[in-house]
Amino acid sequence: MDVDSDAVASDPEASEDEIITAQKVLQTLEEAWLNEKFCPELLPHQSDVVECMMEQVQQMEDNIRRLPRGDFRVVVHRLELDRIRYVISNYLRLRLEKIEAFTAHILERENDLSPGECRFAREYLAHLETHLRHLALRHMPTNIQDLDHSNMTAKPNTSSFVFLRVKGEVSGVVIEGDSNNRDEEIDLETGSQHVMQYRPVAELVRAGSIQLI
Amino acid sequence: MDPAEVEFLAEKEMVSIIPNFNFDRIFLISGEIGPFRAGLPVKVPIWMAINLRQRQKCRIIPPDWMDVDKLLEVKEIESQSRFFTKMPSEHYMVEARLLLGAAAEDITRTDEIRTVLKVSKPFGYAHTCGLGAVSRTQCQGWSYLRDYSFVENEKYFVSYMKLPLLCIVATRAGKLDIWDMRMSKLRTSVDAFIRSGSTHARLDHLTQMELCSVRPLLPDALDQLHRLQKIKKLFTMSPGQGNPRRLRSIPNEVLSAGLVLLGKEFAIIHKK
Repeated sequence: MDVDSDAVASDPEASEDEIITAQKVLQTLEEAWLNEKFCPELLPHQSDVVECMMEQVQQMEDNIRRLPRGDFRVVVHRLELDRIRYVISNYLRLRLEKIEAFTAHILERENDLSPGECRFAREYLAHLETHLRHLALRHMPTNIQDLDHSNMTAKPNTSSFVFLRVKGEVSGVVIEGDSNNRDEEIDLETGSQHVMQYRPVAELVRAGSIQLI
Repeated sequence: MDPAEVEFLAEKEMVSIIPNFNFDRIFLISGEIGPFRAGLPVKVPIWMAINLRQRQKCRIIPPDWMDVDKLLEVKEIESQSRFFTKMPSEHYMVEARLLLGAAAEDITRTDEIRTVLKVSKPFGYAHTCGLGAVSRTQCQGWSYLRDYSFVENEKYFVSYMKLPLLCIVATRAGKLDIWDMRMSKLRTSVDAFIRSGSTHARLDHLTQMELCSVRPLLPDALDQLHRLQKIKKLFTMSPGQGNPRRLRSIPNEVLSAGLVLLGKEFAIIHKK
């Protein structure tokens, strides 16, 4: 898909990653993938990580091509590349799915989108509008022909429940009241696992002190 | 997340193999592996170990914990604790299944390990998908329930909630394996959690596969309950509406509506 390659096309920060090992980048990517998978809303894009990994994959492919046929390493490297590609494509696909679901809402916070995703979202919204106009709205009485985004925007349900593991200790997370309407304050210890609403920990997920599982 | 993806994650874990060939270090993107010396153990990720094993290039050394005596110990501790105990590996089920599937000949007393862990030979995902972990002792009753449930979801769900009791009885008889024990604990605690109406629970030591088994049901159920709670709040806050008796009866309504939703959700999952 065009958008995928555009999404990772260019980012000036990519050069900073060269100090970090590929292993570390892969780990970051995998964590971002899992977070994105379980998070009800769209998280900030990680296109520098994706781009870096794509470069690695490309490089490795070139290396493999240079190896003699039947070399023991070929199969192993191929297997690894397939695994990495799966993570990357699944990650990008998950993001596109969310963008399609909450287009207008997501476009309000463009910073979370990579340039490619941003273009995709805009075009998607424009196409959707044209489609609606063409199919139905133009046959409507003039007074109800307007598309009002504020009323019809789908928003992610941030109060939905998620499973999470704590990476860095956080104390005093306030959880909305239980059935008796009391607010509860809890401390999250490193390594512990919890199930709770996404909203109270949303910032922590973005900051990276919590991993969704 | 489906079990196949949990498996994908588990395949990253390291395992020792004894290669039957010599080779230098391999520089993978995820790190260095090797060097391989014939007859000397070396640590590789599981996905690689399985590939090498399939090509008859190595023997897999099962992890320390994959031993009948150790597992029986784990089982003993698990059965004595009211809470979940720490499993020897974050992915004990998947690892056992992968290694037993690919290299059963390299592991001793495989049948017993299979029994303790409940890794059936043709490992059906059916019992890890949804909440359908069933021990052999319950199988007959369960299949009956399940057939029945397609007609009447609600009734099924109520019967389902009674299953932990059956499990406890079976545990006393010493017939349950680790997976069943943990699933029955999980079901009991999920039940208690939903009844308590609280919005947070700790899930220490639960492995990913176990979380995976409640994922189709629990978060959605909690979402629905949360919605009903919000409506209830709105209702109680608006003054002068309805009579007090009606207000008092709401918690039960909320609960039963939640249970009906849960039942339907569960039936859908099972049909899949």
